[in-house]
Amino acid sequence: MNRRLETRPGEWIDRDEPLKFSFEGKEYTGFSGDTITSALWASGERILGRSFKYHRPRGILSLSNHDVNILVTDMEDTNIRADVVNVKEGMRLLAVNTSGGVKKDKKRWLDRLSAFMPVGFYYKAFHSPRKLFPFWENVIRKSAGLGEVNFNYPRTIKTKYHEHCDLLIVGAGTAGLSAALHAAKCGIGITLVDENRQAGGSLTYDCAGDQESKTVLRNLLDEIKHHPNITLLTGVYAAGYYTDHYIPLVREDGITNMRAKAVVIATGAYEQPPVFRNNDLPGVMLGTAAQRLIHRYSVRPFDVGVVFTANDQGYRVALDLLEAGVEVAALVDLRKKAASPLADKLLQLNIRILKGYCIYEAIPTGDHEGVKEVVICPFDESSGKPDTGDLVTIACDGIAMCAGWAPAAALLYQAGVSMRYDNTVNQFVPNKLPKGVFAAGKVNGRFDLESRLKDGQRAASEVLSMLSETSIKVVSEPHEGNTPSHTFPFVPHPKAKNFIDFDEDIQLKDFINAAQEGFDNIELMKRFTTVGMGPSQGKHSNMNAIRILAKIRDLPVEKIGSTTARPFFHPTPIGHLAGRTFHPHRLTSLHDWHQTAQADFIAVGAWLRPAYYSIAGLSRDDAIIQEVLSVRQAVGMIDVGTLGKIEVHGPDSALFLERFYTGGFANQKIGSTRYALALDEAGVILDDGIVARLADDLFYLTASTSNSAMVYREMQRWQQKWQLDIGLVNVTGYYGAINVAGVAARKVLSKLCKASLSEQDFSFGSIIETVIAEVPARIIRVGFVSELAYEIHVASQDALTVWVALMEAGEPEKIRPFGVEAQRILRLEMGHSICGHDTDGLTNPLEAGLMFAVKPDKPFFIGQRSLQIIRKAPIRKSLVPFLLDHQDGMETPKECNLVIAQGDIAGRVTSIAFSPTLKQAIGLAYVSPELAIQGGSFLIRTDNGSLVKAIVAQTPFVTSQIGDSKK
Amino acid sequence: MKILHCPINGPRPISEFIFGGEYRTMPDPDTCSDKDWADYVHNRSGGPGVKKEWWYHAPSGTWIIAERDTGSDQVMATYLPNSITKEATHE
Amino acid sequence: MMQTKETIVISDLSHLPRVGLKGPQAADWLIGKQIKVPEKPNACRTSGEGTLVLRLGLSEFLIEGQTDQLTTNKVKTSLMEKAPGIYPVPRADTALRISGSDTLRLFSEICMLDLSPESVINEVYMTQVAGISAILTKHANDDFRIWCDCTYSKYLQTTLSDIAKSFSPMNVT
Repeated sequence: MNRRLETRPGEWIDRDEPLKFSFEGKEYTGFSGDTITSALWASGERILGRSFKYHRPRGILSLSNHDVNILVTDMEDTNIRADVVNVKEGMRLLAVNTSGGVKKDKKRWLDRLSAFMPVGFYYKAFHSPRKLFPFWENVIRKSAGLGEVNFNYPRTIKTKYHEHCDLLIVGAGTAGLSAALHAAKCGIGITLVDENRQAGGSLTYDCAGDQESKTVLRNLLDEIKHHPNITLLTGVYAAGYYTDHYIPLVREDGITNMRAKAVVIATGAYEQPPVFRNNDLPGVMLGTAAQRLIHRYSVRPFDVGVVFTANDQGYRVALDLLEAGVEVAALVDLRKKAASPLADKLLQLNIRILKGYCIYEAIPTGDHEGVKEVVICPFDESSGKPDTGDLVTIACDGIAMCAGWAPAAALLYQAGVSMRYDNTVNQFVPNKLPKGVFAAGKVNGRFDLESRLKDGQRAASEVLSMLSETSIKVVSEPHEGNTPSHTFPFVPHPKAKNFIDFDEDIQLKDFINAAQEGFDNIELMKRFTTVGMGPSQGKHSNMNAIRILAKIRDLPVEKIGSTTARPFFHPTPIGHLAGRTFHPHRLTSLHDWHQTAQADFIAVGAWLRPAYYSIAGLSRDDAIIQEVLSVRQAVGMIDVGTLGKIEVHGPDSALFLERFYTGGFANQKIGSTRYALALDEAGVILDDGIVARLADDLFYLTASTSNSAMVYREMQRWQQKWQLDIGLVNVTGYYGAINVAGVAARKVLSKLCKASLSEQDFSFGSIIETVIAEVPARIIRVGFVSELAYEIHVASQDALTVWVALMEAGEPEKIRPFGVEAQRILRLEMGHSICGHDTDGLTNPLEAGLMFAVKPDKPFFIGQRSLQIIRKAPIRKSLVPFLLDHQDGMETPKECNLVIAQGDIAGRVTSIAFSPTLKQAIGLAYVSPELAIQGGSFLIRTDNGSLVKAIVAQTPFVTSQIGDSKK
Repeated sequence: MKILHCPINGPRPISEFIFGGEYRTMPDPDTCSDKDWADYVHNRSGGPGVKKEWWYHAPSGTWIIAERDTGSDQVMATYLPNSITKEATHE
Repeated sequence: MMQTKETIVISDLSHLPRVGLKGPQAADWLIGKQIKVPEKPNACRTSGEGTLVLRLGLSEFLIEGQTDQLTTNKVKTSLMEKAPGIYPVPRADTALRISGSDTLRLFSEICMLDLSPESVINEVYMTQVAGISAILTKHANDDFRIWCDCTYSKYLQTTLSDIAKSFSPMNVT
C-alpha cells in the first residue's frame, strides 16, 4: 500500500534518486532524503518495532528522535534511530529487541503477562529460590535490552575539532534564525546549529494547511545566505553545555568542541502525548509527527484519522491532514470551553468537532497491526474522569494526538539556568540565566510565529549588549491566547495500557502504584518507575510524569520540580567521544638501539623503557636471570635516561636544598654526592635521589623517573614562598644517562674515560666531569644495583655514541644491556628500597629505615616539624629485609601478601624476587616492631592461604669482592 | 571545560593546570603547639566560600594563586604568588 | 573532505642551533650582548637577520639561529662566565615547522586555543598540543612553529603526520 503523496514544494526527498533497501528480509524502495521510518511508512508498513518491556507492536510516535519506538540494526551498527537516520542504498535492516522478527516477535506474549510485571517487579521477584537467580538473570537480559553488540565493529577514528565563535545559536527554527539575522548585522561570528537535516524547525512542517510557514522560512533562509559571518550547520546536535560556554557539537563523523562568547538556546519544545488506552498502537502518533510525515517526506500518515487534541495544535494538524488528502472523521477536543481560532475553518469544511470529549480507548485491528476504531466519550476536566456511560465509536485507521509541550531545556539546566513554572503557558520557562546564556522561542514560552520571531531578536539584542556592540533593545511580549499545554491530558482506564513513557512501557497506573509504595517525589518516582530513563531520556514523558505526580500529591506543578537533564542530548557513540585520543609517550635517545636489540618495552608513566632484552630460545624469566648474573659476574649497562634531573644554581642553592630535603648540603664538598630524601609537610616520603655538588653555586640532582615532574613542581612552589637567590632548571630531557654496573665496570669504563677511575681518584659518593668517547660527561658513582657502578650523564644527543662505545669496549668482558626487570632484582639484592614501591602515601622515614638521610637539627626542612611529632609516638612498623625459608611445593609469596602474627595482620610484603645470585627468594616487608629483629622470623600468607616462613636478614643481601658495603 | 586566567599566559583551558591545594600560611614550627601543627598539616576548610588556591600551569611551569568561590565555582581573581596586585578575571 | 594535493608540510628544524637562559637579569644581559629581545612576555621577534628570540613568560629566553651558529655560540660561550641572576637552560628540543593550507585545521585537532586571529602572530604560547606541553608561535595562518622536549619527538611527529594524512593522502612527511 503506497502512502506517498504527490510532489510538494519544499519536500526533503529527492524523487530523482530512488533507493533500494531491505527491512526484516523484505525489499523496499525509498528516496534519497527519506529516513528509514518515512520510507517504510510510505510503503505501507505499520509495525516497525517492538517495545522494550512488553514487546508491543510499535509504529511512529514523534518521528523526531524524541522516542525510540523504531530502532534498527544493519548488522554492523545497532540501535540506529530510524526516525532520523537517512536511508542508504543497499541497507539491510532488522528491528532490534525481537525474537523472530518484528511481526512475529515470540516475546509478544510478555504483553499478556504484563499484570505480573508492574513497575519495579524485578525488585521483588526472583530472590528465592536464590539459586534460580542466574537463570532469571539470563532470561531477563535476553528479553530486555535493545540491540546486540557487534564485537567486530570496525574502528574508524572520529575527528575532534576545537572551534571558536562569538555567538553560538542552538536551534535553527523560527527564533534561532531570527536571532542569527539580528545579531549578524554587527558582523560578529555566528554559528547556528540544528539537529535536523534542514534548518527551519517547525516552519518546515507546522503549516495548518497553508503556505505561510513555508514562505516565512524561505525568506529567513534567503537572508541567512547574505551573511558570510553566519555559519549554518545542519544534521549536527549540541550534546551538552559545559563551563564557560563550551559546547560539543556532534556531527556524523566526529565532534566539534565549540567555545562561544555567548550562547542562545532556541531549541524549541517537545510535543507531549495525551494518555489513553492503546495510545501506542501503530497508527497513533503525535500531531507534529503526522505533520512531519506530510511536509518533509510527502507521506500520508493514514487514510481515515481522528484528531485528539487538548490544545490548539490539533486544529492545525487537522488542516494539514485534510490538505494531504486524509479523511478527518472527527476532531476530539478535551477542552469544553476553549475555542481555537481555526475552529471555524474546520467547521466550514464539515469536520465534526466534539468538545469536552476524550478518547477512552483505541481499538486494535484483529491482528493488532493497527487501529480499527476509537471509542470516545465526554470528559470532565475538573475531576479528570471520563463519562463511560456515553461511549461513541468512530472507525479510523490512525490517530493524531496533541496535548502540549515540554521545553527542550536540557542545555539551559546544564548551564545553571533556574526555571520557573509559568501558568499562562503551563510549562517551565527560564527564570534566571547566567551571564552569556540566553533563551528564545518555544523553550522560552513563546508560541505564536510573530512572538517567536520577536523573541529571537530580543535574545540577539541582549547578546550584542553583552558583547558591547551597539544594539536596539527589543521587547518580546508574553504569550496571549489559549494555553499551549493542557494541565492534565490523562484518561484513566481499568484495563490500563495507557502509556506515558513509550521507551520504557510505563502506564498511568504505574505512577499510582509507585506513589502508593512511597516513591512519591520526582527523583524516587523516576528511579522506581524508570520514567525518562530510556534512550530518549524523558523527552516525550517527563512533563507528563510531573503533571501526574502533582495530581497524585495534590500539589502545584512547581512544587514537584524536575529531574536534572544530563548530557548527552542524544545518545552519542563512544567512538565520537574518544575521537583521536592522544597517548603521549617519551623515548630516550637510545630507543631505536633497544628496539633493534629485541627489547621488550614497558610503560613507566609516559616513558617506554626496556623491561628486558629477549633472546631467542630463552623464556622471559631466564633472560632476566641472565641479565642479573651478567652484572654480578662481569658487567652490564642500563639506560637510565628517564631519571629526573634538575640543576640548582645561585648563591642560595645550598640553603634551598637544606630546606627542601631532609639531609645536610651546606657543607657538601664540591665533587661529592649525597643521597637526598624529600618529605611532604606531613613527614611522608615524597621521593629520593642523589644530589651532586659541582660548584659552590651549582648542584646537579636526580629524582626518580615517575616523580621528577612533581619534584620540580614542588621545588618551584617552595621557591615562590622562600624567594631565595636561586635558579631552577629542569634538564630531564636534555641529559641522557647510562648506568654501567658490575665487578668489571671500572675496567670497561677506563678504556673510554679520560679521567682516572681509581679508588683514590674517584671514590664512592663522588661526581666527576670528564670526557667519555670524546663526549663531555658527568659521572656519579652510585650503589643502587651494584657495589661498583657508574652513572654516566651526557647530553641526550650524545648518549648513543657513548652507549655504542661502551658496548664495544665491554665486549671482552661480555657486557650486556639489562632492563627494568633485572634492575629491580639487582637493587633488591643490594637491599635498596624504591620510593612509591616500598613506600606508600603514608610512609615516613622512620618506618622505611631512612633516618640516616635525615639531619634533624637543621633550622628548617619540609617535614621536620611533623617528624618531631611522629618520633614522640612508638613506631608502628618497620621495613625489614628478609630471606624466604623456601620449601619445595610451597607457593612463593607475592608483593602485597600479608604478614600474619597471632592470626592478625602484622605487615605486608612490598618487594619479593628470586635472587639468581643467592639462588633464593629475598624481599622487603613492613612488619610490626616486635618482628623486626635480625635473625628472627615471621610468617607471610600466600595467595592460596598457606603460611610461609621468612627470616629477617641484613642488607645488602649481596656483597661484592670489594667489600665496602654501606647499609 | 572551565577557563582559568593565568596572569602570565592569559586565559587557558583548565586541563592545562594542576591543582595544588589550598593556599595556607604555615604557623611558626618553632613556636606552635603539636596540635596546631597537626591541624595545619592535616585539616582543611571544607565549607563553601572564597578560597585561595594554588594552581600550576604545566606547560609554562608557572604557579599562580586563584581566589575561587568553591560554592559557585567562580574564580574571582588570579595572580602570581609574590605579587601584591591582583589580576581581575572576566566572569 | 579528502584532497588531492599536499595541504600540510611538516619540516623538522630540530638541527638549528639553540640556546636557552633564564633569570631576573636575563633580559638586560641579552640586550647588553646586542641581542634584541621582545618587550612583552610571551612574544617573539627576530634579532638581526638570522636569530629568532622567544621570550618565554617573564624571564626565560629561547634563542634560535636561523642561518648560522654565530649568535647562539656567542651566547653559549658568554653563559659559561657566570653572571648573577642568569642561569643557562640547556635546550634539547624537537622543533617543527607546520605549513600549508590545512595548518589551522590541523591545530584545531591538537590544540584548544583559538589560533586564527591576526593578533596571534608573533605571540608565544606555552600550551598543550596533542596532549604534551609545547611552545607555539604563528608567523601566518599557514605557517606555525612548534618546540617540545626531544623525548616526545617520535610521538609528536607520528601524531601530526597521521592527522595530516587524514586530510590528504598527498601529505606524506
